[in-house]
Amino acid sequence: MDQTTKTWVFDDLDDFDDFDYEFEQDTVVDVDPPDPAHLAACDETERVRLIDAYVRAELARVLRVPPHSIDTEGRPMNSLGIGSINGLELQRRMEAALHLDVNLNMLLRANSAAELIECLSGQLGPGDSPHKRGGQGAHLVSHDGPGTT
Amino acid sequence: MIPELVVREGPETARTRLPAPGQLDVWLVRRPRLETAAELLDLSELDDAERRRTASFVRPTDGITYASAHVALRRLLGAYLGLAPREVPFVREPCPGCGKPHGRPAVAHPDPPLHFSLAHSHGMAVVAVAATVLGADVERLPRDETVEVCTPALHPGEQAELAGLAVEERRELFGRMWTRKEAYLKALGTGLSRDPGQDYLGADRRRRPPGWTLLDLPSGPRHNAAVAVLGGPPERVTVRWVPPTALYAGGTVDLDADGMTTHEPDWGA
Repeated sequence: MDQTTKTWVFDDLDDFDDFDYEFEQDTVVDVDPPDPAHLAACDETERVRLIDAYVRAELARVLRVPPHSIDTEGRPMNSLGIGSINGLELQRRMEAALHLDVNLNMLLRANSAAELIECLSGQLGPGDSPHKRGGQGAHLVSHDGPGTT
Repeated sequence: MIPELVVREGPETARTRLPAPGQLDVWLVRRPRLETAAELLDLSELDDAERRRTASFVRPTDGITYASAHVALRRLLGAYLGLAPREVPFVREPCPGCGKPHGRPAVAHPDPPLHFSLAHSHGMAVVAVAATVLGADVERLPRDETVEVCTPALHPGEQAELAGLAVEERRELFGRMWTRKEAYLKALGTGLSRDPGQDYLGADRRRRPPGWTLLDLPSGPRHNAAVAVLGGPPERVTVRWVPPTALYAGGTVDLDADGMTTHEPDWGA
């Protein structure tokens, strides 16, 4: 498709400059991932605290917002602003930092960041958490309305 | 209660305007401005879950984009099916992976009278409607940093096409590949439960999944958009805007509106 066709129906639009970029801040977040060995060794409360801080920081980096502004409890990932492409970015950053497999579909469909934090905490802890075996193929799905990306 | 759709003998009756075989209708939707959206957008036709979801977005513009997309979807499908927008009966098809009801969204009917796909991203939405299985995607142009991190997850052939490109060209090409890929995975019904590195959706049509047609759509300077259609190229592809007034109270969509109509080879990705 040539450029003329690509932009054909957009010729009369003159306000693309502010098209959804007005809420995006150029917040640059330095992320300091926790050491997986330390996560496995520490108690559950501490592990959840460290992973919560890490997930907030990664979400903030991808979304370019301050970490403290991330609502981990009440919103699905899509409502936070995570779509398929930045969801893939989040998945790859988490996998590289924590040395584990993160199921992309599960990440995108998580009902909240807290759900993701709980799942990661289970995978990174000692013992026989069901999350250790649930990385691939797990379906954490919300069923509300005709789905989209 | 989900209304039962009337089984029709032909592609079109007095009440319905079903797409004919070989016809692909693409509708582009743009969100209203933030200052006027709350006043103008008609959310009364959305169901409770859609209204909850509208209110759940952190960024107000995302909520407006979501609501605009869903108002447009209901009004468009209502016009095709001869139903009131709020009566359009949505279901989830069984997931091809596990059989549970979180597969492709569809119109409830044992033999759906039409297929649709909806996507939205940062102020734009796409609704694609056809008589055959299809998937659509639209995405805002990704940042270069995002492309850098995500490229290794793509098919090796796609990675090769991105290698060595200048920054802007690479962002654009990645966006095109990704929207084709997600459109295809939505059409399959798997979504991203299928490894994004498994299928080639790059520039070489001969290497793409057999039995499917991929189309890049007009999408403006900030987005990429694509549709995947089961089978050969559609005979007739029409792209139209849903005018903003069609999303307001009392508004309707005109299925005969002017648009850009062409044959697939002109737009084939």
